[in-house]
Amino acid sequence: MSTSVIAILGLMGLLLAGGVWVGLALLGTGVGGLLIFRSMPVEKLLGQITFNSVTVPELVALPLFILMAEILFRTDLSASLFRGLSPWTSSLPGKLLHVNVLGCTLFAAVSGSSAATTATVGRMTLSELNERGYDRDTAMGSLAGAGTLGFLIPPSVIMIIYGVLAEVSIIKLFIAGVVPGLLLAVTYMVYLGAKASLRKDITPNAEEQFPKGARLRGIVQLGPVLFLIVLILGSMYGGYASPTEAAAVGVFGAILVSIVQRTFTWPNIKAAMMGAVRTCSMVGLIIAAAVFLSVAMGFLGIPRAIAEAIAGWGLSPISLILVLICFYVVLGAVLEGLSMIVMTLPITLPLITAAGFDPIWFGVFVVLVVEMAQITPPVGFNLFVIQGMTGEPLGRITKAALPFFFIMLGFALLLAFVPQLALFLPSQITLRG
Amino acid sequence: MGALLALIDRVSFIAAVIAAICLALMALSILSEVVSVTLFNETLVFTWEVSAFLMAAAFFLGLPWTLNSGGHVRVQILPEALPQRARPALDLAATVIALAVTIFLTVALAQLAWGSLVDGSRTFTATATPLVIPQAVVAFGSFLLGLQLFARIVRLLSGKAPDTAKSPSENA
Repeated sequence: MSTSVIAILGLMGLLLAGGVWVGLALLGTGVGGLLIFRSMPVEKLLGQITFNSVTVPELVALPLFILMAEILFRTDLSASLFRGLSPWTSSLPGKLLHVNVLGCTLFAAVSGSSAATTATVGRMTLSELNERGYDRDTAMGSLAGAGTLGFLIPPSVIMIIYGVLAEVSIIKLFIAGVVPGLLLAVTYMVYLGAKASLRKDITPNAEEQFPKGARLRGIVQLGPVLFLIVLILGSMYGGYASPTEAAAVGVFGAILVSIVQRTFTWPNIKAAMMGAVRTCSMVGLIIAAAVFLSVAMGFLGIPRAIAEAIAGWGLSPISLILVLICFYVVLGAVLEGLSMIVMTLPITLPLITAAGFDPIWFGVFVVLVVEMAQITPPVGFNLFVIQGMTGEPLGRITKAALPFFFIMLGFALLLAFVPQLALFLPSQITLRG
Repeated sequence: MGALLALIDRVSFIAAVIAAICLALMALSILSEVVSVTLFNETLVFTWEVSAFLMAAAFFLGLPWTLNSGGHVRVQILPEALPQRARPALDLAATVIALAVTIFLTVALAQLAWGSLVDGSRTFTATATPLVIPQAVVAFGSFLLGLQLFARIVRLLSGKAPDTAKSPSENA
């Protein structure tokens, strides 16, 4: 490989490992590389690309979904999910342990982020399961694993960012995530059921009695979530709204839920707004930096150089995917998922499309590897969220989440061998946006 | 010096509040588009452009306070591997590099805005917004991030806690 490739990757590694904030580290890599290896007006390019990348209209859905999650986090949705789902799971093997998976699946259908899903669902379930005598590790692990569904089941902020960077239809990505997301949820539940049947000690012995009609009342409890799902997904898949419009309607719906549940108070509004600003600024800077780095790498010929080097290995498409899975698992341990995707996409996306894979399929695949990154230490946001809620050491939470990591790994392989899992649904539907 | 640092923190926070207002206006602008299209079957000419510019403003005006409340992600593996004593030095080095990048970015964005002002560039839409307005806001946000990084360097050098803003109730 040429000196420029090694120099750029080295500079990026140095800046990141040294603790420079991810967005600024990526910008610094792009700027540094161009200043050293190309004589061109770098600041002109930087200014224009930065401004353009943060004013892409499709991206507006992102801050809206973040805002919506911040509002919902401060409602009683978490409690209603728990109360609504628990009577329905009591007869399954593993009983209330399934509430984490089902709660996350439902909440993922209104939330675009896995940290938000984990935090919102876990706020209620972890303490309730603990009080009832369920195994703490299984409860934490299933929350960590199921929380990542927030990215796979639409809406999804990672898919919005991927769609903008890879220039593919966001709504098609959203549709492509549905089947894999639901299948993954079912796989989690099968695992929990099997574990509970083999190990009687992880569920409490005492049968929890639910009064007659508890299930029907449960449906009423789930009303707010179901209302939001119909509002957001219904408007998008019905073809009435683009993802951005659906997100705005979702913010409105979240405010309605908040008002009905009497949580729409000034302190909550302030905290939600400021929390949204914080997440948006963090993500916005990383997106701008990633777009610039991608252009800079293109000028330096890095994607081509790496693609040629890998082409020299003579890998079949499937072994290419296997190599990528290993690469992303290692990278995902030390990087947070979003940063990992935006900094590797300029190199991996051309590789993948040249090997004959569909960019929509790769979007779903990438979301899955981001999900794995969310629960692999030392940097895994879902682990951090659960650590924040329980105060347990990171090592214990990681171990509890490990089976779910392996389920996802297996699922990523399945997706590689059966791409139709993701691609069948979008191929059936033609939509706007 | 203490008064200057306090002023920088204060300005960062105010910029973040303005960013929050931008987010709210952005949501309102898209919602009004949805209402207008559903009820009157008419699309409002300004919504997409205005909301994209409000988004850019929110992203950049929120940058300094996000830094000061520990909201920007960074890889913490090397610092955690180092002995406690060496950490502030590494943090200082990272902050200095970050400041250098931010200065470059601010100059680039300011030049872009200045160029748009001189050329009188406007958007190619019905509203024909002068581009200098959103570009100047974005450049200003980047400038404030530079100030906040400077404040961070001063605090690290004087052995104080580098980040001073409270984070809003934990993540969602």
